[in-house]
Amino acid sequence: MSITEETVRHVAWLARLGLSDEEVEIFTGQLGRILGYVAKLDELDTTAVTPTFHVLDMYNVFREDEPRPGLPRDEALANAPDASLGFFRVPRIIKSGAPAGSPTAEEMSRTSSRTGASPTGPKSGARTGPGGDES
Amino acid sequence: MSENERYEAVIGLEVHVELGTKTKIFCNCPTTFGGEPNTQVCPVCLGLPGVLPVLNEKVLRYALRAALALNCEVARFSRFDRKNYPYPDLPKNYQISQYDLPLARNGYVEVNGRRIRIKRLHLEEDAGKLLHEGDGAQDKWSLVDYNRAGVPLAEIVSEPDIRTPSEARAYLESLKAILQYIGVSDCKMEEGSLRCDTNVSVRRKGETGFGTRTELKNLNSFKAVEKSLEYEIARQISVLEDGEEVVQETRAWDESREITVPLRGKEEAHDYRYFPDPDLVPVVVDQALLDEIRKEIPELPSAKRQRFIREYGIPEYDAGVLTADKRLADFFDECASRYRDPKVVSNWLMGEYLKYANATGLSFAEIPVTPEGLVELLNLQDEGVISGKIAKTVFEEMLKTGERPSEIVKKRGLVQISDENAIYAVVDEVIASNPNVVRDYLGGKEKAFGFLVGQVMKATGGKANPAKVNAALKKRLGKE
Amino acid sequence: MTELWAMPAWKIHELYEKGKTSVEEVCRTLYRRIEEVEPSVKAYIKLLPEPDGKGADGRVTGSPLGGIPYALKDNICTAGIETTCGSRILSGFVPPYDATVAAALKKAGAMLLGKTNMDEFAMGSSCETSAFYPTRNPWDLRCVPGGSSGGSAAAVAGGEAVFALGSDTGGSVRQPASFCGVVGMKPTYGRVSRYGLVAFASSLDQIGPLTRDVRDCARVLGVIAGHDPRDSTSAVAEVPDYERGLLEGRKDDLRGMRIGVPKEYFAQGIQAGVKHAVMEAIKTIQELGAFVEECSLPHTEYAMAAYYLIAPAEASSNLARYDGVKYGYRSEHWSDLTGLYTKTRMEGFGPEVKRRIMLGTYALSAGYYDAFYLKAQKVRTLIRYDFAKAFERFDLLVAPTSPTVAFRIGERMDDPLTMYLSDVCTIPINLAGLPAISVPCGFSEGLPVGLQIIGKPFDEPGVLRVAYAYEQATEWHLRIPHLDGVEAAKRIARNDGQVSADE
Repeated sequence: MSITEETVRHVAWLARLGLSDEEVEIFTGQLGRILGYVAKLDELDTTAVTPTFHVLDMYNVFREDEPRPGLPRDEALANAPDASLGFFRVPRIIKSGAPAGSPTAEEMSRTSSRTGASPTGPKSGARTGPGGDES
Repeated sequence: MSENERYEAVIGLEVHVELGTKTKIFCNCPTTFGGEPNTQVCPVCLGLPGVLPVLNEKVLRYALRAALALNCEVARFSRFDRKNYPYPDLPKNYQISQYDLPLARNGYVEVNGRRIRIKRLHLEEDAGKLLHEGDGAQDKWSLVDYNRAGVPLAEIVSEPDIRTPSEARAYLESLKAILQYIGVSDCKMEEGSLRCDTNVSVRRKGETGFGTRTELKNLNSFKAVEKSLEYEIARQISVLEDGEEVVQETRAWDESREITVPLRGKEEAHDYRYFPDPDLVPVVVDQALLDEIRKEIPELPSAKRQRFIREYGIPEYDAGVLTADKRLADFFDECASRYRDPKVVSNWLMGEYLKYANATGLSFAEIPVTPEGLVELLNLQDEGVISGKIAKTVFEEMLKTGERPSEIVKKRGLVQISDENAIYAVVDEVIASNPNVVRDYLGGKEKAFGFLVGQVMKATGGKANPAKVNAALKKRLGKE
Repeated sequence: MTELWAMPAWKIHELYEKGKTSVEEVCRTLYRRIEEVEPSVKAYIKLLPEPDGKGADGRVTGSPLGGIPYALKDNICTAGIETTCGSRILSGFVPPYDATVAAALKKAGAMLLGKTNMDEFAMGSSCETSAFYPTRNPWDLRCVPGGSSGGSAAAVAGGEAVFALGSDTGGSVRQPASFCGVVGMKPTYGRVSRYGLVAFASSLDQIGPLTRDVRDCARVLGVIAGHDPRDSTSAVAEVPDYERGLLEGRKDDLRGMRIGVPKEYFAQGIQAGVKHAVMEAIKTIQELGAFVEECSLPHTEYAMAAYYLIAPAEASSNLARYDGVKYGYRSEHWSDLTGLYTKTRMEGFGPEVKRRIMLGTYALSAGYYDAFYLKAQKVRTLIRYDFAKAFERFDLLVAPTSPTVAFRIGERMDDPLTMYLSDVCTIPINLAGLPAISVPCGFSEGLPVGLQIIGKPFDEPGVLRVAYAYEQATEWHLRIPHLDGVEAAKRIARNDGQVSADE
């Protein structure tokens, strides 16, 4: 099975994994060979077989709804590469140059503190989340 | 036929409700709203390396309660999946949710006699909150608070059965009432414990297919849900009337301009790579558990409305208003079961009580007056201890302080004067000092009588029993 | 008399009980041994200046592991002690909590010497993918110790720890145990809590002991096994007294035991010396009275393909959290959030981890889920059925742990598929969630060979019993590598040129 460099770049993007051009080339070859190997599974007819997601036959494992103290804030932030004012700090999510106060599609489709909107993503693309799609 | 009448809208709602458990869905951190940033976190909800989630049993029970109250079929077997999506508000860069085997499906809510179907109800964990330093584009940072990360959410997705913006609002209000009734969520839109996105498309009446839909976000109130849909439907119709096509996109409601705007930036094609979370085991719900949960569900709004009409004989409109909120309904229920005329109770609640709540913005829980207090007040009025007018004054005080009406009446000396001698004394005084008015009255001017009554009331500080004042005046003026 | 550093825990414990040695002396001996051999073996990522644990207060007699110095693989979280997973991306990460197993050992009075080297995020079979340095096999410093728990295996083999814990996702405890001539066990999935084990592939990962002999293995397992309310996949089944089970049972008599020998494990690429040693071991087991017969696990040849879809898929999701926001490494070369993510992960992960993240992301991505991930999980069912069927006829199965002995450092780094084949005999057991042990069973080309004994779910007692009987009938476990510190260092100096040329 062969895969293209374009596919490798797309998968790297999904995984938020930066790859050098050289790595893209190497992985294109290696992943192709590994996928060629795993294609061996196609020899087996598994239409009537249920998948094993858990080897243990366990279900309904619960916890009590009893609050317990978590981490003190300084400990919660102790490992953070960058923290400020009691928060974890990340590069600003709104792209620079955008008019102030207008959130991005990305942000809107997520949970933003301003909007209090829900963490549901937009529903484009295959295998998307559940939604009230009417089409 | 106008444009709008030739089209109909097709609307579906996606609602996220925070379940009111004490702790988060997969760890023991508290869920209280408004804590200092990153003070309600632990290794599990921070997604530190090596940690594992364990499901809060109460979360399941609350969700089952909601599922049953919304007439859903509960899945015997369901499980949790990972929705993979890197974003700083998700500590693990995936969200634990339910994908192909949700907890419940195929429910419905009755809204003004129409049945709005519910497609599915599933559980998931909430994300953290992002704040942006400053407001200008020059600011370089966003800040992350994980207190909300891991708060339990039920996502309730309707079928596209809703046809009008007001019906969307009514559906949301019904949903909110039901969830509050069963005690699983406080449903405060302003605190984000109830959030709503809508999907809307339009089509010519009579068509059965669907038009291209848009998704609306940034809906922070029931009003915003309704207004944004009104705007968006009109917009889509005019696009079609112009011979153009509706673009499938996500739009945001701009509250200040009252319009919907397309979200800037191209949306990423998402690939969530759902797969069953290997750290969690499946959830199996058997009949015994369902029976147990069913017992936890109190009388729901629609049943209560019917009972109020039947048992208390109040109008359907009153019953609808009173049952929209469980606390208000319980308040009414308690008063009405102890007082001879439930309609009087309804009038007080729908009048003075709701007026006060709206004016102050206080929730029913924050208003200290008790059902016992209101019944006592009504009895004082019936017994003639206070007049109707005084009763309103007393109630105003009760709404603020919660003090018993008898105490207020006593403290402020508001007891009605019914002693005939005392009333005659004042009446005689008023007649004596207003000879001209008396003459007018006796000369046929009926209005003059009202003036005289007013003078008596004024002299007694409004405490005189009005019926007795009337009787006394008439007797003295020889009209009896 | 055997040196203290070469003794199993149970023997040291006996000496404690008799007052013949002290914790101070044992620790001193261990640290001296470490000083001597660590420069050439490099088993540790982090060595503590003094052992962490309460055993040193002298009250060591009450608990079976009281005062016993041990090592933890560096993917097991330790409160206040840096935990790196052998990766740059977790550099500087100091967990605020103890893994359940670390807490259990602490409570038992065992004393932590340090954190051992490993393949980055446990992805590897040779310890060479560590971001720090490769660990060397104490039996031959030119060779790998196996992996991914290579540091733990080498530490025990080299006398640098009395016992160690590793984690086993596809053979990562058993294969290095086999390469280093020590005992290594992967318990039944769910037997030992995973809480605090940095996840690689959650449905396969299991923590297990690496020890000098089977009795120590039983002893350590007894301390770390059991239900943990913080791990939803932790079994509630009661923990038997494994060690007493061994001592009370008849160790020279396996009559009534039915043991199957799956022929597929002797087929692909097995070295003649390995095959010979394992066949000899099987003969010994037969001589102890067990009924031995060949059997078949027909889907064995598909296990590796299934594994290399399932494990990377889970890993791609488990490793998504390393993004430079909450802990660990953060790149300095970014201009926006996406850049921070991609650069941090580009600079923080090594090639093997990247390869598996890519593979796993692909296997789960739109359009491929059914063909790859779901298919693999179905094949996993077929593999489980193979075992279930075999266990209708047999109490246990025996096989080689690895088709080869330890290979040379650098030898397999260029070809991931060849490297993956190192785990061909251990992977099916993880897919089925079964308990299995590797015990030393001889040598080939001067390097240790391991015998693998596989049991039914939760039949650790059966596995240990056969392992113990075999061990008592042989002397392989008593051999120790003749690691001379000075000589070793010289040899290393010579080898280093060669190794770097390979890399």
